[in-house]
Amino acid sequence: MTIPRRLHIHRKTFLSLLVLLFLMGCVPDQDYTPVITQFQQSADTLSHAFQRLLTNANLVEYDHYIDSQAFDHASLSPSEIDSRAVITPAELKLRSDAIRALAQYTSALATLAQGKEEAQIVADATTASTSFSTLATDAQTAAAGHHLIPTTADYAGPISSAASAAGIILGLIERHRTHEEIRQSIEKNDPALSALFDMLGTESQAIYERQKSTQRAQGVLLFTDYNREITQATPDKDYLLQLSDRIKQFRRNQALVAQADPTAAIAAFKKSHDALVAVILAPKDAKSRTLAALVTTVKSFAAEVEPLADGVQSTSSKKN
Amino acid sequence: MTQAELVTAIGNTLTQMDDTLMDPTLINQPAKWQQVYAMRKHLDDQQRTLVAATIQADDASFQTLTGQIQQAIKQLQQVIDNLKEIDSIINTIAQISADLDEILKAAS
Repeated sequence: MTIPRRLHIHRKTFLSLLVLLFLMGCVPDQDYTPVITQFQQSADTLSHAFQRLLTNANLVEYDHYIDSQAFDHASLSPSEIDSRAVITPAELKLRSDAIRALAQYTSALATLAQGKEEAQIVADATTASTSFSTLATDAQTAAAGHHLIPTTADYAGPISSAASAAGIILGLIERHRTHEEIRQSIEKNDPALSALFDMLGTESQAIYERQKSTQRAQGVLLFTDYNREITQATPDKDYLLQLSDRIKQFRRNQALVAQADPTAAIAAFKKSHDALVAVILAPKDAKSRTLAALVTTVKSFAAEVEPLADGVQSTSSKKN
Repeated sequence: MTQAELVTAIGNTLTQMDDTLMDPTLINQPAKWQQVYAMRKHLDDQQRTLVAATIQADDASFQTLTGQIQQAIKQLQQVIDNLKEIDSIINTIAQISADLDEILKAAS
């Protein structure tokens, strides 16, 4: 290798290091590492829980329909059961991928704030950039194709804005631009991601409400069957025992469904993202204060997401 | 009121109806129980349709109808625990359901 080329590489490495030090604002790495790790774990857990919740959205409708028809001694057919679907596989994937892309993007910012090795920063930025790019294409396809949720068409706008904004920021990171350029770009473009966070939060509330309604309907049928059976001249003891077991399971599931509301976890995810951006944008003398705020919001995020994951997992694998 | 808030409000009404339907006192009045249960099924279907409906939430008629629904839900809360008022409960739920039908008819 020639001497000028070696000097060029050293200069590039030195400049990259300088950028990282500026972004970190001289806050030691050990202060960042636990909070960033907790954030990334929580974002990952949310992403999986959200995907499971969406997968569950059709299953609870099918089960609810079958239970109601059986209770009413009414006919059942596969096509009628299928007609109760509220979300298509493509719609499910779009929303699940949106959460994942937001998690990857925020993780890329976290890696940047943490001052990880340059190769890691660029790798995380590239992963997030690719996810957003695929997501933007999928959103256009989903909007034009068959969908059950009308707001699917409305996703194209916020996803396109978020993908463009994230693309600009991540592109600067990938191209090793200066701290000030990256900082200004985050300040200018990051707010464009808010609409996507908000949309996911509002919509998941409606999906969760259906899960609650269908779960409670099972309780109505169980209690009615039980209370009717005991009024018979000779109640069937085995049947009563079966019903009482199912009532106990129903009540346990009811408690789990109560903690499976994703809205608060998505709101906490957004707050953590905003707090992380605040750390990156803060002047040096405000780094410690913004880091303390980040620690608090990430703790709240973890506190919201852990019971959600437990609730969603338990309710999707258990049946009365 | 937004569409999501309406979905939640209907969910809360369904919860109150479920508590009533699970009460042995009403279960032992089969005709009345069946009437409330039929309304529960209809309101449940309406909620499912509402989740997948395109609603113009800033539309004046949507706001008027949701205002009426909110009013009816308030009335329902006053009588829902009193099974002696079952006819009043049924009438109020019917009113909520009728307003919801109007909203869903206007939706595409």
